Amino acid sequence: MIQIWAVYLRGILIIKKRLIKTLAGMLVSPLLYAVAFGWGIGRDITVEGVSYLQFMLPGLIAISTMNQSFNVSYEINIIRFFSKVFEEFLLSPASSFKIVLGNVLYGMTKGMLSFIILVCIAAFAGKTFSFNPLILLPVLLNVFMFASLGVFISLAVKTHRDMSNFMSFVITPMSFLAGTFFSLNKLPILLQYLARIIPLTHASIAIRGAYLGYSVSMYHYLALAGYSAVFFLLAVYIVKKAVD
Amino acid sequence: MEYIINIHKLNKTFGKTPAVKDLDLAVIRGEMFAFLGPNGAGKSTTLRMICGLCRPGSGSVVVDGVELTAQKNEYKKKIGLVCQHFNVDTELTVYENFKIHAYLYKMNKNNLEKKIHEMLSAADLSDKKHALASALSGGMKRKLQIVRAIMHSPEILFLDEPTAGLDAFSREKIWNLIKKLNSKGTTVFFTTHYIEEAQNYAMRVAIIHHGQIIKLSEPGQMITELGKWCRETFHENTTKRKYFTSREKAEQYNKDIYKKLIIRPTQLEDVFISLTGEKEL
Repeated sequence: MIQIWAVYLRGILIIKKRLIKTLAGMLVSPLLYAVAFGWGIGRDITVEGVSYLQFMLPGLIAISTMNQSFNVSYEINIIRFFSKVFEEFLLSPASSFKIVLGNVLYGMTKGMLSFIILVCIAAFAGKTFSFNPLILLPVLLNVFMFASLGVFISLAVKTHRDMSNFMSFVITPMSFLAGTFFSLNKLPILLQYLARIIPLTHASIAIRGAYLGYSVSMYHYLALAGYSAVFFLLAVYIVKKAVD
Repeated sequence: MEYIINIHKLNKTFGKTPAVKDLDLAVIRGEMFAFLGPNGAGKSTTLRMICGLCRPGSGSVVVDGVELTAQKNEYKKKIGLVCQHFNVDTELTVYENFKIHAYLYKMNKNNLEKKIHEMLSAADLSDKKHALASALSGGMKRKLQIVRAIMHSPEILFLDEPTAGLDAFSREKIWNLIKKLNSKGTTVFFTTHYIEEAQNYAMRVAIIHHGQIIKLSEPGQMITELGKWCRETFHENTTKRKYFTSREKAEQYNKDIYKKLIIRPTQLEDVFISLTGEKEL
């Protein structure tokens, strides 16, 4: 346990040192989305029987928690390619599983911080955020899934530039195609099927269901759990392979 | 004589290029051992394999009776590595660097503060305890790396070019620290590009070339075998060296051919150049 704590503690100490910058960074992008799409474009629009802002808020939670938890990949990239601190982890007697879990918990913490911020924004904006504890389950699965993917990708890429490419070609398109800003029913059938392969889609649907208080198919939760398990195992594998 | 490291038939190939070939090596407990080689000779790959940062193609590495691949986590507790690059965590304080290291090595929490205090004193960094590691000078960062690497009391300390990029004053301080650690019983295995450091500090030296150890002996022995005196001449843009058992023989040799010549005691660097055919850059 203490070795997992060592890896996690490093991340927490860094968040603590940059707390204001970190929180401000988490605030900017969801706030801009809310202003542009929620109050700007979607003020008088109703989607699936609710106001657009209410429809969009769970999507924003899905995107924001995804971005922040996946962001652990940038941190690992820096300590892998530049400061080489990651070598300290590899050199230590901590197993690959513990190194990955410590980093995933760090990514999850960042993701959950952004969730708390969004809840605060919603409250500040006057939208009654009837906090349903059930929302925590899909949010936690979402941050675990993307933190695991972040750890895997950060060690799978060969250069820092590959990391940016992954963001441009995978993470950013996923943000817009996962039913976050619009209902998937509006998409052509083929794209609807494609969207259902995307991990974020399941997070978006499950979070929206919990937020708006309707039940969603267990299939989405199973998909989230399945993706999480696959990404986590891939991360453990890639850390093991890092010493090849 | 007790060996702390036993390496047998170690191999590593990258693609089709062999980096290390059937390397056999044994290091005596308590010694200062220098591992030299030209760039690309395989010394970093060997060091990374010994430290578990690179998987060997074949062969075995045993440190203090524990085999690298069989009991990897137990093995890692027995070694400490100081990398060539400054891999201290510059975003953390000196104290936090020690704390993370202690947790990674599952050190006893009860004695932790005392241990950190000891490490700070050993590295002369007591007044920098709460300073960010990024604010330390190159020499201080290296000292922090060294004491951090021995914090968990490893049986052997590996140093990959510990004084690279440091000024003469900092280099001396680093070597004083390394010698102090060695005098307390830590076996030291180091690589360096400053061959005079190997001559001055190592009890034994191994020279690796094209992935194989081509010479392993005491520095003095290597120099004696080559010839204690060197006659160095510069002719047609080439430095030529010839070695003799005495200064008189060096002075007498082809006395009239070169007007500009130097006769000096042979150094370990001469041994290195004569064996590898190149000066390490």
